[in-house]
Amino acid sequence: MHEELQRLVDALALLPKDERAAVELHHLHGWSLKEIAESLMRTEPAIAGLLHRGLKRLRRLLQEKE
Amino acid sequence: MSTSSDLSPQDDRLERALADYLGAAEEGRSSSRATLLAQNPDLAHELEEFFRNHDFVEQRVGGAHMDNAAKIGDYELLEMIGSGTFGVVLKARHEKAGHLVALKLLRGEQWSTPEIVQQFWAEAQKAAKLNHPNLVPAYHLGEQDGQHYYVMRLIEGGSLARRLRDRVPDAPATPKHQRWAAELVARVARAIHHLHQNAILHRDLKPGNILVDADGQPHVTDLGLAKHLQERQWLAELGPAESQSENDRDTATLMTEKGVIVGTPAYMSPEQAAGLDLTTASDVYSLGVILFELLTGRVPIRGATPEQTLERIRKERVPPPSSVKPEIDFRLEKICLKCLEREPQKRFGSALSLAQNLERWLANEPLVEPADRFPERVRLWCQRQPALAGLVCASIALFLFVTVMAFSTLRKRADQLEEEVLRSNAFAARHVANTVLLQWRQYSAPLIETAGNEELHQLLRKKDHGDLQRFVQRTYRDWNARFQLPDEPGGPFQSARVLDPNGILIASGPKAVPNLGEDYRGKRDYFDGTLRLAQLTGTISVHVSRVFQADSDQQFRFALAVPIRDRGKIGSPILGVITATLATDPTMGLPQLHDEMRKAVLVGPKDGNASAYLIVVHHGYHRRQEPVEINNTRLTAFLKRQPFANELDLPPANPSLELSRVTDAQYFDPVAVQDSDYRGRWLAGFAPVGNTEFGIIVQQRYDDAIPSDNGILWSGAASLLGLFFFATIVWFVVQSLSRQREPGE
Repeated sequence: MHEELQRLVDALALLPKDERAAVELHHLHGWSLKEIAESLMRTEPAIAGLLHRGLKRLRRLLQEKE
Repeated sequence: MSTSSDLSPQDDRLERALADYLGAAEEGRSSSRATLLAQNPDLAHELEEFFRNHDFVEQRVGGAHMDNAAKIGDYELLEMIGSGTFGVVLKARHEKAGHLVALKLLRGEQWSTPEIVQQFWAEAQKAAKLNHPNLVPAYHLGEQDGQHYYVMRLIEGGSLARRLRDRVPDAPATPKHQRWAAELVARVARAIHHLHQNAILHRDLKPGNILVDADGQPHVTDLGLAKHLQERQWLAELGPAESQSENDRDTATLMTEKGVIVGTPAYMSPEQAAGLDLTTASDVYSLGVILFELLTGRVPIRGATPEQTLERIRKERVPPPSSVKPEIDFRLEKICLKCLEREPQKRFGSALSLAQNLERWLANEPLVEPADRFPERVRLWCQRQPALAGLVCASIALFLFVTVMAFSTLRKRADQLEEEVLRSNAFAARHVANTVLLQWRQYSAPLIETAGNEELHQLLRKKDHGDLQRFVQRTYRDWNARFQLPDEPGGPFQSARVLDPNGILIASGPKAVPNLGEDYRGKRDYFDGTLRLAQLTGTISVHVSRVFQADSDQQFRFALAVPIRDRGKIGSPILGVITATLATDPTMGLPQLHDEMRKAVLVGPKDGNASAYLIVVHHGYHRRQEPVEINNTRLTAFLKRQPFANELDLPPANPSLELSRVTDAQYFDPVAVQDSDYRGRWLAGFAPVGNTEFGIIVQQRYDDAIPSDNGILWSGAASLLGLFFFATIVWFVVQSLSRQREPGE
């Protein structure tokens, strides 16, 4: 199981930093969109966009390895 | 693949729709995917993809969260709690012992060679030996299927970076907040000192590496591990070092042209930013940055990019924290800025020294470095020791009060005593004056008798100067015989004279003088004054003459003189004047005041000069001494009077004793010119002798009368004693202020 986790972590490391921050904060740490927006000094739609692109990229990375 | 650079209106709408949807879901408002799709048919494709990706990642992450079967070594993996430079951090449980730990999985691709692994483990083991409540060393290192990991104490509560992020931006740095910051950094600094003592530099101190537990205690992680990353250039990426951190720009670990610099730019010292060798002072700098950020909410130097941040750190001076938050205590600011000195040797010598100064600041004690100024130290001492400070102030106030009171009391007593002495001297002078007056009345009794003698009248009428001369000689002997004492031959009278109404001397005793027939009118007051008094009153009153210098022996004398009226009747023509002269020798029958302190002096008017007065009798006179003139205006104003009917009358029984008129507190004795014994200030009391122009001075030395010497001596001694006492207290205070606390460790 930890291999899968390791893959997730490794894949996250390959994301552009803003996308990675948005995805990690939202999905691993459970931050709200608003919290992330304040922290990264962006608007909420911008974070939504980062999440959208980050998730797309992450899924592709994870599926490539499988 | 869409990126942020090519945002189209469609992307914009998509993002807003997604944000609305996610926001609604977080807040618990109902918002179904179907509705979202129905509302945005043109975005359906993108939205569906988002939902798919979202669910896919959630499933993976959820798997990582929930799957109890996940295991590494002896640890069951529970959930991901963070990720950082080294890899991902998981909460884990020891499968047998059951305790919870934090487990760090290290990224696989970093372990290129066995040597790196070896060295990393060596460093971690060194740190693992550390036992400090505020340090979180790795206490187990493991490897499974090529996956390296290490285990450390689990600190729940999140990092200091998280705390900083949770703080309301621009919240004022309240005193409470400043104390919290100082306390936290002091603890971290002590922990870092412990690390330094074990020859480990942290190299990457930042809020993200400081975990704060539920009790608010800081715990420093990732001890010294950054070193290997630097040496081996593990990281080729320019990515975030801590995803939890506030801002990627501050926290990126990066590579420069000199190689990889490990650390987080905003927290780096200038020497670290320049890629130079690091010392303990570099960690002290990072602690200063953390303190700065805790106080102000921002790091001292920050650029738009990590490279720019490094550039600015290398070149710029750190602004004072009070430029961001003016309410920050200036002493705390001094500590902070000392950490942030550009030159390492100007910073605190050790992290311990920083901790101690912060602790001293917290305890209101004077700082050792940068040392507080003296007034500041006194203020702090008073704050710490309010009771003792109050005592010192009270004792100073008491001492001043007592001294002032003592002096004013002494002064008042001296004034009172002075008044008493003046009053008693005036009283004594009155007593002496009355004695003199009575004596002169006694002496004048035979004169009055003689002036009424029928034989004398006949002789004068007949102008029988031969018989008159014999009469006067006989009379003179009779007079002296009346006052002769057994042991004192002679008598009080020097001579007797008779003058005719025109002032011609016609007879004299004890024998005829050569200048018989001389005109005394206008020459001697004993003729003029007597005639004036007689004409004024029409009676037979005694006149006490002014003091004159005798032609025969140049001695100073004065005379008692009586007008001779025909048949001795009041109002009848004046046949002549009869006088008896008295010598002005030192005794003159005055009562001797056998008080060593008090001197009685007789003052009389000088013949021939209406405003001049002579000291006629004085203890300081030697034999045959010329009388000294006296110019005391107070006295002469007092003695000058209109001629009065009965010069030898006793004064009224209750004369008004106006002290300022009958005394002189600043009397200087004219005899002092000749006799130094009489120098200095005297307290004098005056009294007139009857209604004559003569007066008595009773004088007492000021220094004898007022024991002021002793008073001043005693109060002086008391002052010195008090001063000594005060100086001792001050000395002790200064000692305790300047005493430097020895390092506790």
